[in-house]
Amino acid sequence: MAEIDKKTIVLGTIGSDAHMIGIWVIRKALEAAGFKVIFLGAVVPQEEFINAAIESNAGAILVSSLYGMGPIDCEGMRQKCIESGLSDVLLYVGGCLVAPAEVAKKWQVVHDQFIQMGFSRVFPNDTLPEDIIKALNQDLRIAE
Amino acid sequence: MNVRCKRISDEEFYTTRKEVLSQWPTGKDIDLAESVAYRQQFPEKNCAVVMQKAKENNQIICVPQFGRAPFEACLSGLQYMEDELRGFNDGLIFNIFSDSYTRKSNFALAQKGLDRSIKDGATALNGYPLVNYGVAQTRKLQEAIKTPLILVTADEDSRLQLEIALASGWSGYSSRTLTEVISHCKNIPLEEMIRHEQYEDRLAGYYNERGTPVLSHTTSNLTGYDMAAFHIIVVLTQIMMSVEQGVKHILWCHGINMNLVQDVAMMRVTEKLADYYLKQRGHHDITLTSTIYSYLGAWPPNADAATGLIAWNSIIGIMAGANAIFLKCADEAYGTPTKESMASATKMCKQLIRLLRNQTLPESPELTLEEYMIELEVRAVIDKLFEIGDGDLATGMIKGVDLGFLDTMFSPWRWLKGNVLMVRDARGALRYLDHGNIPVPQEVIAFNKEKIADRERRDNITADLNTLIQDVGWASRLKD
Repeated sequence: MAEIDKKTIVLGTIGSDAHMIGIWVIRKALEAAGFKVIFLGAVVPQEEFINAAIESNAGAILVSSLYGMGPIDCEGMRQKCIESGLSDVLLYVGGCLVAPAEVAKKWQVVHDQFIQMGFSRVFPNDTLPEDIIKALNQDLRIAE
Repeated sequence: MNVRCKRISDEEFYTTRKEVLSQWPTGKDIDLAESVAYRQQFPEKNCAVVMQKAKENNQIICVPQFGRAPFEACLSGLQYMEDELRGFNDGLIFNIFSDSYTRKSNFALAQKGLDRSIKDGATALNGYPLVNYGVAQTRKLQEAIKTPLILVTADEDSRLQLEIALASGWSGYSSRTLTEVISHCKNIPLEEMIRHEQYEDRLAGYYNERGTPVLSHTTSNLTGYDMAAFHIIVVLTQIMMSVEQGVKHILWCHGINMNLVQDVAMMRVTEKLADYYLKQRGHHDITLTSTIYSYLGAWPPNADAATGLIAWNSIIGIMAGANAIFLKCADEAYGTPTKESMASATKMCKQLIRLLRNQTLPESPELTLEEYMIELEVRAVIDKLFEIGDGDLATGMIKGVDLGFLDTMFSPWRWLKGNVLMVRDARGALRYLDHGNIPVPQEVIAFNKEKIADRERRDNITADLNTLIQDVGWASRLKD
């Protein structure tokens, strides 16, 4: 297997979710920080994230989910990565991950649920692009 | 045969209908004649009737939005809102959210979410799985509440959802083509979307013709960051398309950008041109009412900050003379709203209506100029669509997308060029930084440049992509 390219990142909004603005802003910030972004847009199935990561030897997959059905859309994704030979790929997820709002506000519970699902990091709805870049640099051991 | 802006034949309608009803087992329970008889039992609990009366009586209808997967949770949430809002001024229509799998016609996945919701006792879906519940159950929901219901959460193919909703006594739906593909779709060609919508509009026409009116909510919610003229172009094309199928009662709707003068100008120009184009095309019996949809960009997670947005959206709607207001609530940044939060937003909006109902934004040179520029752009683009379509609007719309004459930012739809860039001017109105290939008149381009230059001078910046990124987060940022 080819060595991973730490500066290549796969980015998109998962499932039936059509939200574009968040990933658009993250894309611009990542590009400005020197990353190459494989931009999948919105309404992206798990398989498309994984195939894009295989083809580009990406260092990380960034999954956005804003419409509250993150658990159903994201479950099994880590397992699929492993089956596709991406056992160690960094897998981030962020947004408004669960429905309804009264559950979404219990952030620690939501966070732990996605960590248990195999995500490397879980980001809340007030995350700034620089928070993501900082985490990527740290996890991929890129000197800032 | 290519899709055209003309009424579909009964043969095509009934042939398509067989396919639509076979999309999920609950489809087979729908009998149109029986549904007409059922609907006639509720002549007053009807969105079209409520909107017409509101317009006549200078009332503004609030449209709270709610949806949960477990039936009891959905029903009790709606009843809670009715109880909380009893005694407040003016009327209500409820928009019950369908979950996003239902919107995408993925009824098997909606079933999985529904089963999980029942097992866990909490909703795993972001709305009510209308198709999975079907007519018998959804009629129970409709009968248990007093407020008329509208189906707004649609997607590229909502034909079965609409069949079930209308057969269950709901009385409104979203008639939409361009706004749908631009806000929610990825792959569907416009031609196919238009065919789906023609079916839905014809279904509404079927009920209209049998004395049980249906309100067609013709939306331009788009991506949440779209030019005022583009909003109007989208709404006008949809109105002109839908009336050919027998749509009679239209509630046109704009998602707003939250700049008072520009949003009010957008509403006023729409009112003027909707009337103009309908009459020009020989339609004299259409009732038109207007509404705004709360800001569709990023909302702040802080509840007090979000409350400010709700109030400001409501005020813009009232000052623009809207007949209805679609509400979001303080939960918006977190997801599917709670009943408490939605009831609270509605109460605040109703109080603002009480205070402001007799006020509209006064005439001013600024408003007049804004209306002039918007109208100039809208007419130029609509004329162009008829020209490239050889007089047929459907053809013009499809070619218009291909040529980039119809364009905006942030769409997930692969067919849209996405060559347009917009920033806010010194007063917060949206202006073209790059109008792409839209046939915007020179006078309007010059006006946009001048307005951006005002901001550049004031803020000592050169407007570019970074300005745009700042502007996109403008409403949700808590610190500057």
